[in-house]
Amino acid sequence: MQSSLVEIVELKKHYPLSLGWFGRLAGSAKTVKALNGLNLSIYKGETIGLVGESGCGKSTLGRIIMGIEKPTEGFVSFNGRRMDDLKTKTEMKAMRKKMQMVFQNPAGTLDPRMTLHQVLSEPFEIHYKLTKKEQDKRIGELLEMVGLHYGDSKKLSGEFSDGQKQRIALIRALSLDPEFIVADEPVSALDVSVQAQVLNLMKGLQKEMHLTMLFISHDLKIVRFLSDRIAVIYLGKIVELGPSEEFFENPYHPYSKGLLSSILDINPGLDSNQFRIKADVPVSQVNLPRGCVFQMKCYGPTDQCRKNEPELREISKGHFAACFEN
Amino acid sequence: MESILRVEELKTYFLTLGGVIKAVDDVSFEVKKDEFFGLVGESGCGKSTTALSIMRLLDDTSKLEGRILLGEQDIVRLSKRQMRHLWGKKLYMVFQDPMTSLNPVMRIKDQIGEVFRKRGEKAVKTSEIMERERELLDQVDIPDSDRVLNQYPHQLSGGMKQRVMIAMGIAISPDLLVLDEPTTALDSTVQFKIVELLLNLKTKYRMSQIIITHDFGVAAKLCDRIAVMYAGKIVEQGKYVNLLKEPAHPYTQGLFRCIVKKDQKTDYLETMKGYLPSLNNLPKGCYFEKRCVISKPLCKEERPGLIDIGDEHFVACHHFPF
Amino acid sequence: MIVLVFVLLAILGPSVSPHNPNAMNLTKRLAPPVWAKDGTWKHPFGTDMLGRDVLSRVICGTRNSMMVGLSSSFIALLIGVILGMISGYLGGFFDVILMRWVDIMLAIPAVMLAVVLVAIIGPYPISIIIAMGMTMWSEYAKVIRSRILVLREEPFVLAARTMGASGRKIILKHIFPNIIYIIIVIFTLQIGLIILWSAGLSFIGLGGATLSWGWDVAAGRVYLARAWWLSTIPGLAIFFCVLGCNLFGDWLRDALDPGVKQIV
Repeated sequence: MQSSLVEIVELKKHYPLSLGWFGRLAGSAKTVKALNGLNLSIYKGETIGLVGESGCGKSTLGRIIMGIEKPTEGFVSFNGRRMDDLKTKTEMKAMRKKMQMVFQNPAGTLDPRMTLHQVLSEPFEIHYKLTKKEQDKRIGELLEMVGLHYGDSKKLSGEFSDGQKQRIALIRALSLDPEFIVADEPVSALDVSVQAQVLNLMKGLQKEMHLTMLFISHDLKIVRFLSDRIAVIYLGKIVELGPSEEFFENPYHPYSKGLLSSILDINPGLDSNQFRIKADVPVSQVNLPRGCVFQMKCYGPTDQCRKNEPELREISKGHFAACFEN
Repeated sequence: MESILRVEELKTYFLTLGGVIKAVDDVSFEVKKDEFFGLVGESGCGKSTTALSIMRLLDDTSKLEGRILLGEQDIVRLSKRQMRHLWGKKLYMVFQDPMTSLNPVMRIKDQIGEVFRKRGEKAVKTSEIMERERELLDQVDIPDSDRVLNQYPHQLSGGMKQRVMIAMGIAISPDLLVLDEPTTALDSTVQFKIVELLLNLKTKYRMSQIIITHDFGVAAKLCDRIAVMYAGKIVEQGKYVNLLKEPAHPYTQGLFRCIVKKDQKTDYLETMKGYLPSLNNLPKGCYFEKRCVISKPLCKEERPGLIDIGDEHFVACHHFPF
Repeated sequence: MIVLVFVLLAILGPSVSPHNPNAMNLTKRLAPPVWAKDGTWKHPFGTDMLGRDVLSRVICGTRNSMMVGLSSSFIALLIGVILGMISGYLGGFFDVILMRWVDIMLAIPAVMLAVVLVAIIGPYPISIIIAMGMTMWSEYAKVIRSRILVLREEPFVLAARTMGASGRKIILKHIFPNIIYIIIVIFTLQIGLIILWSAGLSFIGLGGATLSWGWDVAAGRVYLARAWWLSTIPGLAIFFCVLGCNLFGDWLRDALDPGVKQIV
């Protein structure tokens, strides 16, 4: 039985909507429900691709796992330890070393006023006491991994291209030998040719370093390239979860089917055999519908869908979906 | 087929402190009546600048040279005042980000109403305009049109806003409609619907369109012919199906190879080495030479021009004999 | 350039001025500047109603003005930056209170506040410095706070947090270097403003120092028809000094703003 590295249990995150004095006095606390009872187990050595569109909560999940934000309810545990259980600063720091994050926007991901050398030595300075020589050596090694030399480290971080910045962000994340990486849309802001370079790097590192990774993206094609399992998130809940190949062959949840059908490949002409969902209906994260979260966009909701919330149930080995229909 | 737009030797140069930036460098193409023409390329290739140049929306920091023939008229030298007669009538552009394209303090019905008023139809009654607006929203598949018309932009989703923009485009019915990355800011499911919508409208409304995109998927579904741009120049153009079947230029070939395919089976993605040259310090020869796998000495010296290789397929590469 | 001249004058001050600015010579009252009729090179800008050399007064007045300008600006900087940083980074209740306080301060004209303060403390140069310092810090606080709010969410700051960097380290290494240029620019721009205001205060008699430009302008008002140079020369000094400070501030902003550097 695989051991899970990261356990996410009934995670909820609600952001209060500020209504001013009146609203608060009136007692109605409206909240934006970014996450609504999310459960996920991430096993050691695997890469889970988390897929969803805007407003689904995937970025919020990433931030909570990394400890940048605290959940409203529920918890995340890492290696068996609950994150909200960590009391001392040293414990937090030790935990931080083990998980790292790569962000979406290459422009802001490196401090523009620091040189590359400063950027890469920062993690070492926080956690280890390396001699200058050891540090320089490590930095040189890291830079080699992305096709740069130690000499480049004297340049300001702003002088590098977007693709290079992302790759540097990646090696910065890896410099502490973390066990777990959260990659939040790391290639979405990059050109196609550059995407390929960064993805190749990630794939290579995945294999070499046996990383456990949560890869967050809205682009299914890319997710497929890197992930062992796919999790689809909609309005703060996981609606489908399963092994990568199985997911692409036999998607179950209507949202998953909708996502897969909406991929535009490079062949001309639209496939007339498209799975239909009501794509453009505005959904509110404040007023969630009773019952299945997806009912507004689904073409076939039954009374049951409108009354009860479907839980994730196993459809085939390792493949789960939260839908009543068959 | 007659052409709606002919762009001939268009050059758009920006004068900056860092030198002259040749954003668009000797670009020529034509858009035929009722066709969807795609300007495709990665960021910095000049596609947006080309579109803005054609629309004459650039200000005095730029220099335009060449000819832009809309019908019989060369619009390169027209003043802003003269262009105002064309904007919103013969030329119209839908911009990339639907969030900022609509006036946030005007209701939808008033914004679309503006379009009608601009066409000089002041004599028309308000009720008639409302009726036409409702029809328009139907055309772009916006349900519940009465409610939407009375709403403000922030109450609509991204996809709906984009549909409203397209609706305004239909209302104007320009000779040429330019869409700048119409689906980039949208979710993939919504993007799909917008692409579907545009295709439906194509058969119904017969509009000539230029579609700017970096996404080959979008270009594949929407465009009849495309031009691939690199560093301000067109490196290849022609019917999309021809380019897909046999891409001639090494850059086009590289791009098609790099793209992550829907059914990507390999463990490794193809990449192109090198990077874009800086636009104020362009090489003497072919701009793509440094990254090209088949470059020859001639490529370093001379810049290739567009050569016809059959069936309206043009490529700018020395590997094709003149 | 202009600023350099003034700074030099302020520092060298009395040693450069040809005459003792306070030396009265009633026989030489109201002598015209050198380019007018009867002017001599002995008093290039003429003399005032008490026979004091105008040029010397202007030169020595520089010291006063620059000192006021720099010190007030510095006090404002200290208060504003510290409050702004706390407000921006920690947020919370403190932030809310502080921002309301800043709004109140911005609603009251600074000069009025300065007048009140001077009235309380007394008409000494130090009071202007304190008064100005205490009214001008709000600009720093507001601007820095908003910049920090943005910076706080930038990926590189988040990255530092996830690496385990302590709050103090983040502020020192990441936030501070990215707001220094703003601080410098506001500082130089405020100096000009303060000099103007303090001249104004001197003009209405609350300056406290008798050797200052504002005072001279005021004193010379009566003689405008006869001896225009008494008010005009110090007035021009004020003008050029403030202009110089503003130009310097503008130039600094363009030079230091990281956004401008990255042209294609």
